[in-house]
Amino acid sequence: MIELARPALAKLMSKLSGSAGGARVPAHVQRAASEVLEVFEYKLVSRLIEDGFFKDIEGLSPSEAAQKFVDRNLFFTLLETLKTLGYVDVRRGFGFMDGRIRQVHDLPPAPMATTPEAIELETLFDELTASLSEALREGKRKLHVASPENKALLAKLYDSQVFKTLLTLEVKSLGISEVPPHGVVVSVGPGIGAELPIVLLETDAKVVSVLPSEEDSRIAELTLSGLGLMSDQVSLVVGQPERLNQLLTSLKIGPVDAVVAVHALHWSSAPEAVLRNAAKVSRRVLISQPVEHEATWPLSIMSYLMGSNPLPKADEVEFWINSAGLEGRSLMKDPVYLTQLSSRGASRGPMRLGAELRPP
Amino acid sequence: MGVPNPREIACPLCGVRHRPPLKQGWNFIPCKEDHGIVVYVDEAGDIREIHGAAFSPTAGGLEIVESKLHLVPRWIDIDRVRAVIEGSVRPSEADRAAISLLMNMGILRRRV
Repeated sequence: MIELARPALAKLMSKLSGSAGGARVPAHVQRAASEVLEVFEYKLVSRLIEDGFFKDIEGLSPSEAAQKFVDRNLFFTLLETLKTLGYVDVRRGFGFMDGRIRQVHDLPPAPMATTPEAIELETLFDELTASLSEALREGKRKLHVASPENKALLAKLYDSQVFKTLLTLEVKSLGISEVPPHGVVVSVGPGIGAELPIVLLETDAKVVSVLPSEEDSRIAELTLSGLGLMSDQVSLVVGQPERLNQLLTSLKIGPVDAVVAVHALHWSSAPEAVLRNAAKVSRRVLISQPVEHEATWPLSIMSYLMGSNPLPKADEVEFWINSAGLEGRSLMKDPVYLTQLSSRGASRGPMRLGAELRPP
Repeated sequence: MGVPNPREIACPLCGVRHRPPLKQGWNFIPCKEDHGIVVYVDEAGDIREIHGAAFSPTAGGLEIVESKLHLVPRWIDIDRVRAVIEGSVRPSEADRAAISLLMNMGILRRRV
């Protein structure tokens, strides 16, 4: 049994394994995940120390400290993360915003990366954390994936064995494999089609991937070609998931058996609209959305630096789901919100995917 | 936009004509054993650049941006890509995809 450095990570893997029908997380991936977490924590905290972040906020209240930074979203995400990791504490106030920030833990010794995963991602983490100061103090996210070259960073993150294993468990849990081979699954992800190889391996149905730009579509297509997965089974369409209904109607795509949104909602400026549109095109909406949690903070910070919103809280996801008129079964609420939904008012009881919208 | 119909491209190095499916961004098209073609298609679907790319470690061709090696996706065998652009291995279909992808990600570029 591998001792994981972070109990939250162990819990995440165990919960995902359970929801994916007992699929095991290989020991080498567990070890790699643990190292990746340690290495990123070290890089992040050492970069913040170097940048004078701790000195700048020491003794201030969170609201006073926030005034020192242009990107307050990022500041509060970092403060929460540093509190969770035990580097800072906010003490003696009437509320969180009135308390005083104290650094309570120094940087631990540099962890030794031994797994190929952690070694490989070290340079990526260096690049990401190097962009932190400019993002925080000037509000400029220079690694924003709007630039085609920065898409390589996001692709690399999701290409890692750790992310791929976790994503596979998430997608397995959603039950996409139940969609019959003649069915249609619409897949929405974090851009660049990061979820596509996994979705394609999980289903024999036709998969329509909605990608935000031509560049993203190109990266997805070339990746699938290189992996030998580009075939008639998959169509790549460029459009905004917030306008999915309009997009699929104009392309005459349908009926749709399931819309699967994998790590997609924090990349949207209107996540409710994504879900509302998903509900318009399919009775079945499957969501795998990491939420703010002690096991997901690296993803939250990394994807934020690349242009996403911070990861939502579980109750925010719930609010979006309710606002979109969806209801259903939550398989897990944190650290990843996994849920199988259908439109409110749709027939109750177990739903066989693909059974309702097929012509007789 | 992608380019719906294949258009004819003449290789700048040998003149051989190709009708490759071209998409937005950089496209790599293998031509003869010792060279390929790189084509850049803009957002409107117009061809903006066509260059010959000699497969040779020294002649004008393609080069890997060493500072971006950490971004190479795991499914790409970068040693094989290196062998292709240096002319010691003939590119396969998977190499075509890998080289086009690396060019679009700024990990591979034209040596000028």
